[in-house]
Amino acid sequence: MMKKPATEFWDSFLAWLDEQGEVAWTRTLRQRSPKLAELPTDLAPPLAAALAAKGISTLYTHQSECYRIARSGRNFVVVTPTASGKTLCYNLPVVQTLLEDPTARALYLFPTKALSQDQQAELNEVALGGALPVKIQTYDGDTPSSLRTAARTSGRIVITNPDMLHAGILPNHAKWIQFFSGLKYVVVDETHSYRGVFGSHVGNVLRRLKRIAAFYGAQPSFIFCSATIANPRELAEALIEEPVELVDDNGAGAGEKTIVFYNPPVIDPVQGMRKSSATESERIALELLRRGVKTILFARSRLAVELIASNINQSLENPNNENERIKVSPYRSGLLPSERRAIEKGLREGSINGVVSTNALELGIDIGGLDASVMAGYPGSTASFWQQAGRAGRRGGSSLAVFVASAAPLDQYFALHPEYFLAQSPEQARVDLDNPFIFIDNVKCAAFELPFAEGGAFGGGADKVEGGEGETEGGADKFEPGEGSERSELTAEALSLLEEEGAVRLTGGRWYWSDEGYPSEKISLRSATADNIVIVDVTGGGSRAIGEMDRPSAKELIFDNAVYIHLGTQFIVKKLDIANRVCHVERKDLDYWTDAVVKTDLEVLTEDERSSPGQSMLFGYAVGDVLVRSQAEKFKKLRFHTRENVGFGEIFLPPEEMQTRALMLLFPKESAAGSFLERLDPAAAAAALVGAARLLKSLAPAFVLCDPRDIGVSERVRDPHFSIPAIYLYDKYPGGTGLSEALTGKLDGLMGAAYERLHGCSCGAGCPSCIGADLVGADGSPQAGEISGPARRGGAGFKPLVGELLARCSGRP
Amino acid sequence: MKGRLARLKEMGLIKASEIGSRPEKPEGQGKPVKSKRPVREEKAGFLQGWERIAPHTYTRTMETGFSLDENRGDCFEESHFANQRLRRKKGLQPLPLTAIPLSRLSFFDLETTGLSGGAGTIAFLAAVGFFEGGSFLVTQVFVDDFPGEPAFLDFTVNLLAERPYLVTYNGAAFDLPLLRTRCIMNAVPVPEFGHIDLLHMARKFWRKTFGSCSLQAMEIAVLGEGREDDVPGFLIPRLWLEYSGTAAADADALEASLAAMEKVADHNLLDVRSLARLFLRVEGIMKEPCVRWESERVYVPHLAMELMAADRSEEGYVLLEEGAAAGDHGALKLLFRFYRKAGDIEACGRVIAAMDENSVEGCMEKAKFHEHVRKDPGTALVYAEKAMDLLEADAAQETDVRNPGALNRDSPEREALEKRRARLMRKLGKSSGDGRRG
Repeated sequence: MMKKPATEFWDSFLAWLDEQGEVAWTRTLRQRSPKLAELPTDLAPPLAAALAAKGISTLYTHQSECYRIARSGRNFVVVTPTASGKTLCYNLPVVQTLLEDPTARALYLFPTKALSQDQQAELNEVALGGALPVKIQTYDGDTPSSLRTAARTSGRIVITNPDMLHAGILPNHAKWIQFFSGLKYVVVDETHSYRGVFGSHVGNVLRRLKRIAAFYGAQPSFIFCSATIANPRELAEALIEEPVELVDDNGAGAGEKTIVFYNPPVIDPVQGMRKSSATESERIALELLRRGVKTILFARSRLAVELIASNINQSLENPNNENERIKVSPYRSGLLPSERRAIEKGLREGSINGVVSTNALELGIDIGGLDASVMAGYPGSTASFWQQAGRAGRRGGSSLAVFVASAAPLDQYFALHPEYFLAQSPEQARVDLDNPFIFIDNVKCAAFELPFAEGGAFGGGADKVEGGEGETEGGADKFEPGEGSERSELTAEALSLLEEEGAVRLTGGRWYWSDEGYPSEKISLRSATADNIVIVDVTGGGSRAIGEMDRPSAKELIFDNAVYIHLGTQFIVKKLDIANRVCHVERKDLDYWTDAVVKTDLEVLTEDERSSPGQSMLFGYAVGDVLVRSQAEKFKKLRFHTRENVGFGEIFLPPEEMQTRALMLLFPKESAAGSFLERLDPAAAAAALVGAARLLKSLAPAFVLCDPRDIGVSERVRDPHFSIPAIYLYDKYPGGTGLSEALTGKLDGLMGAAYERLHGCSCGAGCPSCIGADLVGADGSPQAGEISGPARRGGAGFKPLVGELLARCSGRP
Repeated sequence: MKGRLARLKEMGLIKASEIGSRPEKPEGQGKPVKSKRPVREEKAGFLQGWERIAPHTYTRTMETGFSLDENRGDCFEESHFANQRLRRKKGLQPLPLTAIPLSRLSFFDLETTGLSGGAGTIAFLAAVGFFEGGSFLVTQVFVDDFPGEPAFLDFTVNLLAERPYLVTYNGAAFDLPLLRTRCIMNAVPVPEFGHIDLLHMARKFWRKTFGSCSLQAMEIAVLGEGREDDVPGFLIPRLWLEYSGTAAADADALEASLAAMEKVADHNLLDVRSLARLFLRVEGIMKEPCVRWESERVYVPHLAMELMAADRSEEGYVLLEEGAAAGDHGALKLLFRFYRKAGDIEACGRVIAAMDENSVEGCMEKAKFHEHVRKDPGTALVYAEKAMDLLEADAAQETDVRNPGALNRDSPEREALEKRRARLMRKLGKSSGDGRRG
């Protein structure tokens, strides 16, 4: 790519960058040389030959250690930064075992279909290249039914995703009898992506998997691969409730990488407004592409991806030189599989030079070597940050990662504290397998798959099915089914709940599935709802499905008359038909896009925990269940490029309802914060609460290490339930995934940081980097919709009020 | 978490998967009417005339009032049709012509707790029909609650093993995989059976003529009899789940659901009876295809294909010629294919000439024939152009009724024609650009 020496090349680019805005800091990560180990001595000759054919004569030390542990039948998790030879960590022991034992089988789980596809391509190369007699089958939603029988009966390695395991394989386990009887290994790749609601579901799906395997007399060992997170081992152990060993001494080398933290220029010093990180990223990516650098740009939303890709292509447009022979594609979820495949292939083969992506490409999809990665704003976690930075320089060599800060408080916090950012141990991934909604949903599926014995237990390491063969291996005490009786009680309680709705029935000492339905079909592992809306292009009287969207998103994005952008083409929504789960769109060129204004209502269902009066000197709190009702009522039309508001429209859709967990911050007049609010007129009090809520929400991810989108906020000057001012921080997933509880434990730190951020902000009356200027969400996101009432018109005197409220909450003078 | 589960219970469970879209439950499906956790004891018995063979498991054998004498008299010992289908299904070498006697066939149908399959769907009622002497008898096996399933399966499988050649309707996709799954899950050994799925045959014979090929549709269209007071198939799972969940102590509810079970049992019996009658009808058609095809309204080309596959090509030709004489384009097309394969150009020409020159397909075949067989691009082009005109006319007509925007514009048919036209033009030395639609 580069004619000049690498450093010189990057130096000249950095000089350019420095003229554009503010390079807050740069760090260069040194090149690292690899640590090698000999190939295992017991490799079957055909396997050794296959490796030799690929030019592999040694292993990295961590690969060798993985082989040793896997072959002894123990579980392990290997931490795998990009380009560390991850696949060999599991392929080697698995293929060797399959070659030795013709009845052995392995299951590979990848979080997305795209990854499965990629993995099979790579495995086939290993297996077929060396003519190994190991049949590899992908079994997912894209597998044609003609190939499914073959996958079931003759697949030695079956590659699938948790959704397919949940809805396709486990409910039909009897058709997989050979597979389950021989199941030796379960490989869980991209383990770090199994957190929150998805991870909690997947943990339960693994409980079900072990239960079925035990029924057929198999007890597989588990191999996890994870990106760098703070707690890979705890996460893996939480997912399977068994001891797991950790392999984290990475023997692979790495090329030199420069990390650049870029802060867009301030355009309004009074309001502290900066240029948008999306626009700046777009310019930076364009410059890199023009300099011949293969670049990936990560944007935060599907819409942003489409807009940026289309803008870059427009900027390059020049019929005389074929756009300088530079081709840039958008990549996001919601594209059809064939469209995604074509883009991945184009990137690998070099016919596409740049890609604008959501975090969909953050995972290990093979797109070949890119030279630079540009991130438009903080991706929500340090793990994601390193993954995205790692997409550049996969094949070694010198690479560049440019982080473009948004005006969001968290980004600006990192701009001022690089050491903190770089030194911070990356985030903790959490799962709560016993989230009651998720637990019950999975008990339901499990009962469908195999009746429960009366007194039987689901999960908690007590997954040995009655009469199942094999004893638990000796392991740490915490994983012994010692808590069995408590587990059994929980399971029985869940089952009797299900009995009331008629799903199961206890008879003859067993709980039988007693419904005509197929439960997993209605339970989505990824979101609260299973019913996706299909987007159909009806232009010119045709009828062509072009994408899908989950229902809650659909209500906020593809309402009637909304502008929907797909692969750079603009559509206008003719009709969103929720009942029939279809949305009709028509191609239309417009100069604006649409943005819904969402209103949120809250109802308190329970209070499980409440601060004691002693704790409530500054402010009080409660934790409990709430019902959240959100509704998109109208939408704004915003002109492209200028973001000018060119009109409004009404949305007529029923509200979305969700039961979840919330942390409720309470301000009784006896408390320091409450006595301050009481003196304010309602509009001013509302403004103070809105500003504080915004700041708390945006800083929470630095403490509980979650995605900011996982938390919702809502505030009331006079709460109908508590009759005092209140702020709600709620989990955006039904039933909660432990976030509210975790936040409760971090309240002091969170309040302190909010106070410091506000007082450290150099703006005048508030800006997007603290409490918001006009309360348009940071970086133009539509979060303002969550804020209702007079506060939106607040303005003058707004920031000091928030400052005083936070000072009182954090006990400062 | 325990406390939270309890609370969910108090509040009435709202499932994560249903939030915001709580469907309105059909009547009677909401709150269970039954008392909380009734004591489960085996019910005192089942319907009149059923014999208890194991806990929860009952059976009866019924006369169906249907016997061979009325229908076919002499031909009940063997079934060349069954034989041939079984052989082909298994991909085996042609069997020596030992036929399977009808008395070795089991006409088999299951009633289940769900229509979507999966490990949580069980079968609760099996019907096995068989010929004994000239009469058609049906043995049914019923299980009244889940714990009886192993006995139910064991008895059913043994019953089938007595006549191990199964005839089903959609059994390949539904009944047999389900039976196998249940047996695996209950550790009941399941032998390999011979199997004929009559649905496949019915589709071949009658889909073109009647459309729907459900067993009930076949009863009306082919067998000429409907049912009265029949319980609709989709209700059956729920009826059994309600019956099995009703406590013995709840006399009224038990009586009501028993009455429903009686209907389900009758439905199951009728299904198998119709299955056997339809089988004999198909069998009869295969025996005397040339005599029966017209009166039975069988789709000739498919019947001919069956005969060809069974090495009965002579009859196949006769049939096709008859069909062709009646102007059936499918028959003409097949005939053409066979004659061409046999190298009989003259016969080919005759068949092509008989094709309808006012239909798109007819013209397309004629164009092909004149181009490739007669090597006469000029005539071929005439037909190709004509086909194009006809296609256009069709499209115009459809456009009137349907959406505007010419659906046929890029149909594969049209594309193929365009290509052919261009090629013929080239062969004739014309530029395709001077065409009408260049």
